[in-house]
Amino acid sequence: MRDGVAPDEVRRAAERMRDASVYAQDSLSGPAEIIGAGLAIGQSLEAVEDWPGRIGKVTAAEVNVAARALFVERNSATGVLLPERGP
Amino acid sequence: MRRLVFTLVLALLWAPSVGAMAIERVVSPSGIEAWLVEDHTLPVVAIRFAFPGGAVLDPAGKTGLAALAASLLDEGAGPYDTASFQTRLEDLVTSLHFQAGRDQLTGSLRTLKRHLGAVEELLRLALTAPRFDPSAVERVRAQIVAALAQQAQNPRALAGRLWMSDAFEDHPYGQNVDGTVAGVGAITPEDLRGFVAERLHRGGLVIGAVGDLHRDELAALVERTFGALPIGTDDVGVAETRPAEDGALLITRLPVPQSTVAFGQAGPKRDDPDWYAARLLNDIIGGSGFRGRLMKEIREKRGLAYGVSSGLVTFRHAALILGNVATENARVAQSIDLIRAEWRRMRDDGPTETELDDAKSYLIGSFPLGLDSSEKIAALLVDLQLERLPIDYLDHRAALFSAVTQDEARRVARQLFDPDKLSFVVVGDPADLTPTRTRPERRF
Repeated sequence: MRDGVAPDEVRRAAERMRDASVYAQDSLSGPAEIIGAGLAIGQSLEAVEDWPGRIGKVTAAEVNVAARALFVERNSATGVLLPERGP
Repeated sequence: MRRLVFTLVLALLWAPSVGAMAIERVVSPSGIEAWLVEDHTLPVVAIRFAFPGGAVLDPAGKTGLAALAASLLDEGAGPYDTASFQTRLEDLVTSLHFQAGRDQLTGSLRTLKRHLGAVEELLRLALTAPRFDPSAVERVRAQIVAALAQQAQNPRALAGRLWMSDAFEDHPYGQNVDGTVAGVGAITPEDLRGFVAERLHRGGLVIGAVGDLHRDELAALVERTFGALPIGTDDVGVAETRPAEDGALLITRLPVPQSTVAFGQAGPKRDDPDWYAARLLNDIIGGSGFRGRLMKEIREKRGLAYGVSSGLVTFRHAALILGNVATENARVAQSIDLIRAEWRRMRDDGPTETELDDAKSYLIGSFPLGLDSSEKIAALLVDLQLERLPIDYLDHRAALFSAVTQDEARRVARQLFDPDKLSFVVVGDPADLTPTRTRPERRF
C-alpha cells in the first residue's frame, strides 16, 4: 500500500491475464458462460470481447488508486482455524 | 427393418462429425511416434504423454514411489529451484503437471504457441534433470502423507481402496497408487533419482499433441524433448490377473450414520471383442445420471440413495466392472440385495430393444461433447494409443457400438454378469449384515 505497484509489474501482470484469456476460448461452454455473465450484469458484448484490450490499458497509477480504495483493513475479516486441543 | 434403418441413420449421423477431426501420425527423426490434431484456430498447444509402468512397479516397502516422483518432477529442475521453476511456468502462463496412475506415468502440458520454445526447455529439464531438493521432497512427502491420513477417514475412498486390496491381494494392482504412510516415509532421494533414470524412457512412450503446431514442428519438439532419453522397454513385466471372484461381503466398521459400498467383479479387457456390448450393458444397468436400472430401483422407486452407478474399468493387465452406492446403515442390506437382483436380472434376461437403442444413442452422441478442449483431445490421443486402438478408431467408433445386436448383447450379459461373483466392501455401520469372511486389517 505504501509503495504501490510498479509499471513493469502491471505490464507483466496484464500480459499474463491476456495470455490466460486465450485459454478461456479453448472450451465449448466457457465462452458462453463468460458472455452470459457479462450480459447478465449489463455489460455489452463489445465490452466482454474487448476485455483483453482494456486490461492492457490499465496504468500503475490506476492500480494504486484501486488498491488503496479496496484493501482497507477495517473492511476485512480474518478467520483462524486452530486445532481442537489448543496450540 | 426399423432397427436396421435406425442403426444406419445413427452411424451416418455421427461418424462423419467425429471423423472430421483428423489425427496424424508424426514420427521424429530417431523414431519416436506422436499423434497430432492440428488446429490453428487458437494459438494454444496441448501436449500429453505417458511412460509405461506407474504405481504398479512400486517396490515392496516403498509403495507411493511413482506418485511421489511424479509430484516432484515440476518442483525444480536443472538450474531452477522449486520457486523459480514454478515462477517461470507462471510467467509463461503454462501448466505442466505429472501424475502417476497404476499402469503409466503421465505428463500434461498446455501453453501458448509463442511460449513453446521456453516451455520445451522446462519440460526437457523436468524429465532429465529434476532436482529433488530436500526441502521440496519433504514438503511434498508431507502433503501426500496428510492426504493419506484424510483418505483413511473418508468412507468413499476407503471402500474403493479396500475393495481393490482384497480383490488383488497378491498383485500390485491391490496397492494404493498414493502408497501408504510407511511406504512414502521410506522413500529416499536415491530412490527418486533411480526412478527417473529407469522409468522415463522411450520404450512404450506415447504422445498426443493438439493445436497450433505443424507436423514438422512437433517432430522436432519430440526429438529435442524425448530424444535423449534411454531406450528402455515397453514390457513392464507385470502379470495378467483377475480379481478374486468369491462373491465376498466384507465390512469395515466406522461409527458413521451412512455406509459406503464398493462392489465389483471381473470385466472385459479393452481388446475383448465383447467390450462394446459390455459397455452398452453397463450403461443400461449402472450408467451415470438417471439412466441406469440400478438408479431406477434404488433411488427412484425406493429412495435408498442419492446415487448408484457402475462402470467398466480397464487396466493394462486386468479389467473390472466397479460400482458404488451409499445409504443409511439400516438400508445397506436391502440395497445390496437389490444390486444382486439387478445383476441376476441382467444375466438372465439381458437388455430390452429400447434399452439397447437408448444406450447406443447415448454413448455415440455424448462422446463428442467430452472433447471440448485441446487438453481433453490430447488426453484422448494418449488413451487411444495406450489402449492400442488404431489411429482411425474415431471413424469406426459409432459403427462398432451400433453393430451390437440384441442377441449378442444377451449372450454377453449371460456370460459377464455373475451375481455370485459380485463382491462387496461396506465401510460404515450396516445393520443386519454379516461379512462372509474377515480379512487382516490393512495398515494404510
